[in-house]
Amino acid sequence: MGVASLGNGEIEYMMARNIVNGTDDQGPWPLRQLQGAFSFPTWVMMGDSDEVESNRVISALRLENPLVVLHGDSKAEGKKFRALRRGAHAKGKASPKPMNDGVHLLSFHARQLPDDNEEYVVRVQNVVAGSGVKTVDLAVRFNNIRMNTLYNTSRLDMFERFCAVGLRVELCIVPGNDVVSSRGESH
Amino acid sequence: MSRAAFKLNARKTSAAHTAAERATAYALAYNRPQGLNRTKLLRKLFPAWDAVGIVQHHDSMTGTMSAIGTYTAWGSSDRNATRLQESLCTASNPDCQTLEDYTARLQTASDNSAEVIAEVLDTKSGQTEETSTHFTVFNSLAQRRTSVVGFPLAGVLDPGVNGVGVRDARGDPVQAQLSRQNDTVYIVANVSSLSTASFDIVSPCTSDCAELPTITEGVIDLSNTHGTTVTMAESTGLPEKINGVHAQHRYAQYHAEQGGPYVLIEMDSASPLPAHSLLGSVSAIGPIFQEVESTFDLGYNSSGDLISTTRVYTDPDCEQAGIVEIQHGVPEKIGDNRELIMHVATGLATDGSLWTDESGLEMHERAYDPTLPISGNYHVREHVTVLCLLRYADATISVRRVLYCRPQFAQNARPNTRDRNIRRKTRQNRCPY
Repeated sequence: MGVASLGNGEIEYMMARNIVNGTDDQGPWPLRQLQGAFSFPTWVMMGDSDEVESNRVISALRLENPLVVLHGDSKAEGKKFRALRRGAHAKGKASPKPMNDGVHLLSFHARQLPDDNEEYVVRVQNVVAGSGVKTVDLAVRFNNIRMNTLYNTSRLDMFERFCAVGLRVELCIVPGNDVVSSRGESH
Repeated sequence: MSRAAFKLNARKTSAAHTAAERATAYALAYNRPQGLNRTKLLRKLFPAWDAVGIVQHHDSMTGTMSAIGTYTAWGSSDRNATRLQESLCTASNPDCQTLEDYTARLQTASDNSAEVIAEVLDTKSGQTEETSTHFTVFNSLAQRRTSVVGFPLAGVLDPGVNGVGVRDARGDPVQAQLSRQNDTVYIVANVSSLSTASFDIVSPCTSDCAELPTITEGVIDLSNTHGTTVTMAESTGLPEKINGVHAQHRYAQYHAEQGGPYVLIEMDSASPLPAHSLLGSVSAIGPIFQEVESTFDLGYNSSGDLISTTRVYTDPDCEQAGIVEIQHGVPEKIGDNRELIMHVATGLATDGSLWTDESGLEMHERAYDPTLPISGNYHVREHVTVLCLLRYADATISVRRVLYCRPQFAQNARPNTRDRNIRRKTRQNRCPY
């Protein structure tokens, strides 16, 4: 699926293809759309270059990760869901605070360790070109979870390298433990 | 399933897996609820992660890379296809993967992600999906979001009889709007970072009920309070101007039987699809958004209608503010050996300049080369976003299509092996599309 500008002030993008017997020289993958109707969102944004540049990745991530709608009966809710919905207030902890605009939480997932504990991987990314250095205090963002980073601090300075990609930092956080591992790399 | 549909499915599954993964981490890290089986959840997430990673890798999905960004790639179609097929599945390769294998993996990933997030949020207890009047909205991103979401009403309630309303977790009414067909109720959900919000649909409703849209016929200019105005064409119902700038949208098609990875080789311009009269339009002037829905007869297939929905959200705080969302329902049957495109013509003098994003999210200019066939001037939409810019002076029009791709295929949920994979991910953190 591609995009092109074949004329002055023109743009076109492919939406669907139905090639019966042909190939695109790219292997055995079928090019015939046999699946039922499907739709995809297309956003049109208008603004000057700076405005568009500062919003394109952020908007893309929102469009890529729509709010998840789940079905359930409130009367049948279990205790665990009510607790989760309220965050960790029941234990005196606050839920993760939002990241700054332009700082994308690239990863947040749990790993089970051999000793039957778990650790959590957090990776953040500066996704706005021209926005300068961003500092994220993960001790605030993920409060009450002890963490260790490559820099022996929970403050991460993410520098820009290319237009939109800043330093990506991966760190592991473990509730109640001291050191597990940490790693940061410039991409 | 075509490759394009497979990719779309893969990216949707990837987003679902991300949400399940983060909901699980949230639950475990912040408030481990009783009865939540960590090992069970993580074991269920692992094959989902594995499946998403495999199907997103270019070796499993051909046609996703081109050496210099021009048409086609290497070798004749027969030779290339044969080589790839042999690498995928031969008698001597016990680990061969067929298209069916990949499809099955993707289905597993989707199912597992849905099961995990339902388990973590405990939404699968109680009523079934079809009869539930309770909804939970989960925000998998790290920023607070204000976004329009729709709850289906079919099989649950008939708003035409007693009316329906939406209430939040505290029982307070939520501003809501019904779809024209009374089959969906829309609200603006405000959800904190990595958190959920829950809502109930109530009926009968006597106050603060969801409103029916106001019907307006004819040509409609859409505008929101953020300053975006879209003028729709009378003949097609597609956008014609955006903020006063000419931006004529139309459908067109190429007709060929062989070509490059991103569009077929074609020396002739695409044929505009016949512009039929606007069959009907509805302007949903309500508290949430305005909506125009147009139906087109594409002409090349009696059973293939194209449904186009254009929305301009009226809430300036909504994350869609200033953005016109155009949803295309691609017909089930598209004419044989045809390729459907959306063509946008503007009055801007761009000199053929086009920008698309690269795997690192940075923008690259793509110069038009008149010596190449059309497919040679088509460029892949690489990463989490696809953005094409037509620049003129200080004005920029961007046409954006997001392909549900995220650079997360190398995540590792297994202990003791993370460093290698993490390093690979951070150094080669690109999505292969």
